[in-house]
Amino acid sequence: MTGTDPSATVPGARLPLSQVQADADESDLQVSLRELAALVSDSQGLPDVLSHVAMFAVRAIPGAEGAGVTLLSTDQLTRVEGLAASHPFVAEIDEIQYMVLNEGPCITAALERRTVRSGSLGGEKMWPRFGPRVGRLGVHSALSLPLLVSDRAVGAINVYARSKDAFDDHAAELGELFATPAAVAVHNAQILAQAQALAAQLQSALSSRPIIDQAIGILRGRTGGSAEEALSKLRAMSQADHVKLVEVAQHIVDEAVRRARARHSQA
Amino acid sequence: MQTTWRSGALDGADALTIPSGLAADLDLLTAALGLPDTNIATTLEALASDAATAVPSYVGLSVRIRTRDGEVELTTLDDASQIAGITTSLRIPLEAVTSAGADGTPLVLILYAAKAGAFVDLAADLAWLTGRPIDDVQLDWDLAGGILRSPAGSLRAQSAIEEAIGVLIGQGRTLDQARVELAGRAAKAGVLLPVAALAVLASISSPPATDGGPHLPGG
Repeated sequence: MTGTDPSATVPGARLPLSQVQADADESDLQVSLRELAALVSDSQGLPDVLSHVAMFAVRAIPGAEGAGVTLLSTDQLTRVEGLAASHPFVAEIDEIQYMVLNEGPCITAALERRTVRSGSLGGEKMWPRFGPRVGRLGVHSALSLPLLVSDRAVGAINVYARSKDAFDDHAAELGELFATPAAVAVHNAQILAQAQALAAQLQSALSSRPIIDQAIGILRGRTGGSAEEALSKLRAMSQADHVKLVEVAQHIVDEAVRRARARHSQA
Repeated sequence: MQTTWRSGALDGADALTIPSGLAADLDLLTAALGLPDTNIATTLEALASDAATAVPSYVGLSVRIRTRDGEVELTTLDDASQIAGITTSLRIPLEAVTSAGADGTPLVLILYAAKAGAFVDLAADLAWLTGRPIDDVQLDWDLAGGILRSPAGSLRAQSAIEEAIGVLIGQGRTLDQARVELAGRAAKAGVLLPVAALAVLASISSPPATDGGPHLPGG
C-alpha cells in the first residue's frame, strides 16, 4: 500500500477523531466493501461496474462529495480505457484532467502509484494548470487513490469535495482500504469486457472468412496464383471501389455461382 | 506484431508475444472483419496484457471456436517451454456476446498460467460477472490432455477447404455441388477434408483454360 504524499498533507490531517465519528466512518466503509463484494453478482458490464464503484467510494470515504473511477491502459498510463463519475461535477473535472490538460491527481496517482491529495486545489503546485481551473469551479479538495493489481496501476479513484482540507489522513487510510478490492473488481470486469470484445470480433470475422476464402479459390483457379496474390487482388479491389472486402468476395462468388447455374440449366 | 514491455512468466518465453503464425491469421481475420479502426491482434494483446497483470504467472491464451467445418483454435502458445510450464488453466465460455453479423458461434477463451491455483479468484469473479454458475468457468479442464492433444483444427485448414470449394465453383459447380464433390474426393481417397482440399489447390498451379468466368468488380 502506498502512503499519502507528505507534501500534500493538509492542515487538518492530524485532528483526533471522535469515537463516534470513527465508528460511523468504519461502518460506512464496511457497507461499501460489502456492496463492492456483491457488485459482481449482478452480471454487469464494465461501465456499470465503474459507476457503482464510484458511488460506493463516495460512501466509503469521509468528506467525499463525488468520485470518479478511471481505468487506464496498463501499457500506456496516459490512455483512458474507462471512465465513470458519481456526479456530473466529477465528470466535468475528469474531462478537464484527461481531455483538456492531461494533468491532475488521478494521473499522478496512477503514474507514481501512490495516494495523493490536496486541500486547496486553487493554489496546488503539483498541478499548476488543473488546480486553479478546478478551484474556479468551487471544488477545493481532491484525494486520488491508485488502483493497484499485482503492484501495477490499472487506474485510479478520484474523490472530490467543495470545501477546503476535506480529506485528512483518516480519509486517505479508509480510501486505501476501499481501493484494494475495488482495483481487483474493476480489473476483472475489464478482462471480461476485453474477452467479450475479442469474441465478438472473431465471431464476426469468422462468419465472413469462408466467403473470402471461396473468392480466393475462384481467383486462384483462374490465374494459378497463390492465396496471397489472390488476397492482394481482393484487397486492391476493395480499396479501389471503397467496398468492404467481404462484399467484393461475395460479389465474385455470387457471379461464379450464377454462371454455374446458368450453365447447368442450359445443359 | 509484438508486445515487448513485459517479460513472460517463464524464462525464454514472452507470454505477451503474438507468434508470427497467429499474427498472420489475425491479420486475415481483421481484413475479413472489415472495420477500419479495429485490429483483432490489438484486442488480443490488450486482453493478454490485462490477464498477465491479474495473474502474474500467466503464460498464454487460446480461443476455440466451433464453425460449420469443425472447431478451430487460435493460440499464443507455440513454444514447447511455454506449454511445459503450464500447471493451470481457466476456460471461459463466451458465446453470448453481441455483435452485428455474428452468428452466435460457440466460443471459449482459455487462459493458461504456470502457478497452480493462480486462476481461482479470477474464475470466481468472471463467473459472477457473467451471471453463470461457477461450474461453467472451468479450472484446469484443458490440462487433461487438452493442450497436448488438441482436437481443434487450424484456421488455415479451414481456409484450404473453402478455397478448394472456390476453385470448384470456378470450374462450374454450384456451392452445394462443390461441397459434395470435395467430400466425395476425400472419401474416395480415404483422406481428411483438408487433405483433399490441398490436392484440389495443388492441381491449379498452372492456369486452367478460361471458362469465361465472372467479371471482377473493379478488376
